Amino acid sequence: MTQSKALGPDPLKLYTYSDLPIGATAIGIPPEKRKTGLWRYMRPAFLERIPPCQEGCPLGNWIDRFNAGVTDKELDQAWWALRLENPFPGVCGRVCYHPCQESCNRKDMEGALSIQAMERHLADHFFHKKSKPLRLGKNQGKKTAVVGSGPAGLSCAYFLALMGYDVTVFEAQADPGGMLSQVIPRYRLPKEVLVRDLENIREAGVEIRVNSPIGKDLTLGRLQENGYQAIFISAGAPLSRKLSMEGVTLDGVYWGVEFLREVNTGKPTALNGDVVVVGGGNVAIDVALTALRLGAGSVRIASLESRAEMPAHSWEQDDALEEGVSFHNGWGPKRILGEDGNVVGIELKRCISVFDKEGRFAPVYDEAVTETFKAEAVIMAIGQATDLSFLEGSGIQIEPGETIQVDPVTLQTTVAEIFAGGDSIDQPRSVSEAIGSGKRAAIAMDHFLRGDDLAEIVQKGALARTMREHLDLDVNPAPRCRKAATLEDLNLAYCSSLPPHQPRKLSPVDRAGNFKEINIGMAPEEITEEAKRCLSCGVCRMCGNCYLFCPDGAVQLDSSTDRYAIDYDYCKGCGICQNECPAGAIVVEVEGVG
Amino acid sequence: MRNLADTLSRSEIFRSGHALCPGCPGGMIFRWITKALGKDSILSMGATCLALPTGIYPSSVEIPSIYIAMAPAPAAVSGISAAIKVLKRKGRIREDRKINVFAISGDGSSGDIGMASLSGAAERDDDGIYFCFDNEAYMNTGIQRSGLTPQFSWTTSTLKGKVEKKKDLPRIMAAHDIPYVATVSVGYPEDFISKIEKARDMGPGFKYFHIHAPCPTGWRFPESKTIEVARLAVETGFWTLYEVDHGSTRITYQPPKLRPVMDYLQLQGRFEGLSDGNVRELQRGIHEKWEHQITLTPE
Ligand SMILES: Cc1cc2nc3c(=O)[nH]c(=O)nc-3n(C[C@H](O)[C@H](O)[C@H](O)COP(=O)(O)OP(=O)(O)OC[C@H]3O[C@@H](n4cnc5c(N)ncnc54)[C@H](O)[C@@H]3O)c2cc1C
Ligand SMILES: Cc1ncc(C[n+]2csc(CCOP(=O)(O)OP(=O)(O)O)c2C)c(N)n1
Ligand code: SF4
Repeated sequence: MTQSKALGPDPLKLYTYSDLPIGATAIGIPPEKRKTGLWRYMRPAFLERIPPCQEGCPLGNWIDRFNAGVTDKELDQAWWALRLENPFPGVCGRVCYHPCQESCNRKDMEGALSIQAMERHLADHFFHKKSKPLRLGKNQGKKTAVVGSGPAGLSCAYFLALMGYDVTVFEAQADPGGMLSQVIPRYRLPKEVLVRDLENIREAGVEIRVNSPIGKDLTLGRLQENGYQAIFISAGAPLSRKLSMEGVTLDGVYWGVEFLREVNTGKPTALNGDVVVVGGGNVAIDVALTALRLGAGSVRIASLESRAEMPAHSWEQDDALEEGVSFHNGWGPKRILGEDGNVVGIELKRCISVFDKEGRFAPVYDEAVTETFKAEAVIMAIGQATDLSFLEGSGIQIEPGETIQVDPVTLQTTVAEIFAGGDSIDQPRSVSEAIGSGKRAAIAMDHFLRGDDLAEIVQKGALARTMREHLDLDVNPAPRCRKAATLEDLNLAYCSSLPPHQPRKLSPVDRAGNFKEINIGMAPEEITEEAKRCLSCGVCRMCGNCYLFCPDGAVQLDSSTDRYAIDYDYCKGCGICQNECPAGAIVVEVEGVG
Repeated sequence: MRNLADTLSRSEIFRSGHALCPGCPGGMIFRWITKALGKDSILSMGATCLALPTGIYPSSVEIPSIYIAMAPAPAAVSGISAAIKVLKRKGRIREDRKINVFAISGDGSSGDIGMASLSGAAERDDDGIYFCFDNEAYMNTGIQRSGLTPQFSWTTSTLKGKVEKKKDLPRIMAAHDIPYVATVSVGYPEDFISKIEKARDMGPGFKYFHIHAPCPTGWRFPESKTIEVARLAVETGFWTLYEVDHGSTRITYQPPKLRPVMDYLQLQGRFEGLSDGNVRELQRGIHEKWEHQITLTPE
């Protein structure tokens, strides 16, 4: 310093306060000593909640994370988050029944987010790119086996492989994929999409042995002797449920799953003339649209249920209507009419009610009211059934409903080292449920193989349902709060009304006579716009409101985590951050309680 | 996601540990203004609520500031900017050095007691930015009515509600034909900060900001609701966000649809005693104002 302090500040350093004469001003002395946090009687804290879509997703997809990736055009991160939880992004992006969208908080505003379109977009974007396989655990040096290569089996195998286990999948058929490859029609799930997902699963370290049925020649006992320390059974429900009725053995009577399996595996199946499909589920619709593509002149669907009661999803029904399928609701089959051993028609009887008071399936008919349709073929699509004969003598208990008995949480069967999932157990039959069960079993098997006390973990409620929880990968504040975020938790002042985007579809004319994919998807720009509709329910999106609005500057970015953190030395507990958090990711509690 | 929080400077020139009430909008505006204007700034702080952080030892404001009586905050702007001019001429400050001179004072100081001083600085077009922190009463001395207290509002000096209407200070300032007049609200930080940046980057001259600043203590609402009340003032049309940039007026935020004024009033204890007739009158006033102001908006 060149000047004496008494002479005042050096004008060229007008703002170097330490140079100011003592007593001239107090500026520059930090007020840090004044801990205004002492005033506080309410305490805000970051507490993320579970987005309802994730709660609704049977496989626990990390939806907010991949959605944020799409919004921010950080597709690599989105893809990572998606593959961490779902081995079948391409498949799910097309055929999943997307229950996530049913629970979307936008649903009752302008309509749910197209989460499925997001998934599909990511799978399509990375279709021709090589993705580095995820590796989440060290090699465990333990062998595991999976029976059946449907979505349940391959999900379990994928996650076991990610966690470092050796895993071999035994598949009875020549093609892996279960229903995905064998029956789901190609116009909904193109073969190459499935093949691409299977490639990624194999690259994760899963070995699939086709033409290797478990049963007579290769028993479960043999697998155990060969050193497989834990086994997952996912043999699906590969058979059509049968009905005994006059005329069912005639030529020209088909059964839904077997019919679709023949078509998908390339067996020549030509149809012409009128076709009647019996059933009201998604399989009936698949059968009807497949029949049209094989040359049927007309296709009628006869279902016991009214349109609204039909288990087939509304969008599947819409597809069928667009293609000219007619619905005959409130009719059940009475008998199939034949001449010279061939089908010539079907007689239907009026169904008065389908469900009893408790909502159970208990159809009541009026046999006197009938209607007859001419038909060259009748296809029965009234449900699927398991075939668990190969488990005889294994000690695994079978439920009265012909499903494998499992612990509802761990999916462990009555034989400790054997777990089961997918359509073979009593759970809703869908791809996402199948994948979810495979993942939950893989997590339970990981504990089992490490020698943890599964019962105790379950009792503590500590058994994870997702990979990010199980492997503790979540970098966000841990979701201590298991509650799903409701609309009331959000600050809707920050939510603008945005209409949903709809995926484009092939016109009915362009669908005729071919198996081209109906759903064309959305353009990348539309996807980004669609992703921006996400309200990020319960999850911090780093909008910075808490930081901007804090009058005390007590919310600051923590450079070690890149997240906002509250400095309780200065937070006076006004609660503005909580009130202004768009996402409902902050709570306020009375200071000193809890 | 990039947003305002990421684009603003992260450094806090206005420091924590100040003595403003919990939930005070003053803490926010002090942080935003100093972040936008930067350290090369000098503050003239009128003797009002917001003088607490600067006047109490140790100060929370890390820039040179003069703590001055209620009326002369604008005069201090005149003096400081004149001094800078002289020092530059004498070569004691580099010519190209941009020093932001600004004042903050309350609505009572700006619109009542210091009106002459404010009008004078504007008329001389002295270089600086003046922020009127409008919490709609003399809050620091215990919630007495000011010329800017809205009609029908309770204060400790209008126990049955204020009879007179709120003085329209920003329009008075616009009539001075200064380079820039802006109305802002703590509920709309993007609008607020973009206007400060605009004023900062303008040539020399007097710029006037009128900040709508809901006061939990004086308006009788929970301190967590400061922003919500500010937002509702704008969404109901009670407060309008506009700017007058070199004479041309532009509404900078148009609410999608004006909400009923009751949505704003019912959150605040100061409007507790309003009759239906009072509410109707306020509503009518809003409609008239909007019709008038919207016609001012050039398309
Ligand atoms: C026509 C149709 C359409 C469908 N469409 C959809 C849809 O759009 N969306 C949706 O979510 N769900 C759909 N589903 C349901 C979905 O396909 C099933 O819920 C899902 O495939 C069940 O998976 P999984 O792994 O349990 O069984 P599967 O997919 O049935 O796989 C079981 C596998 O195990 C093999 N296997 C069986 N026994 C043995 C054995 N002893 N040894 C070795 N391997 C064996 C089978 O060959 C098969 O590959 C549809 C079902 C049908 C029938
Ligand atoms: C000339 C003068 N008169 C009176 C006071 C006492 N005084 C200090 S703060 C204040 C109230 C200021 O009200 P306002 O300007 O509206 O600002 P607020 O405190 O509401 O932010 C008064 C009257 C003073 N400091 N100087
Ligand atoms: S206000 Fe924004 S940054 Fe703060 S917690 Fe909520 S979402 Fe996260």
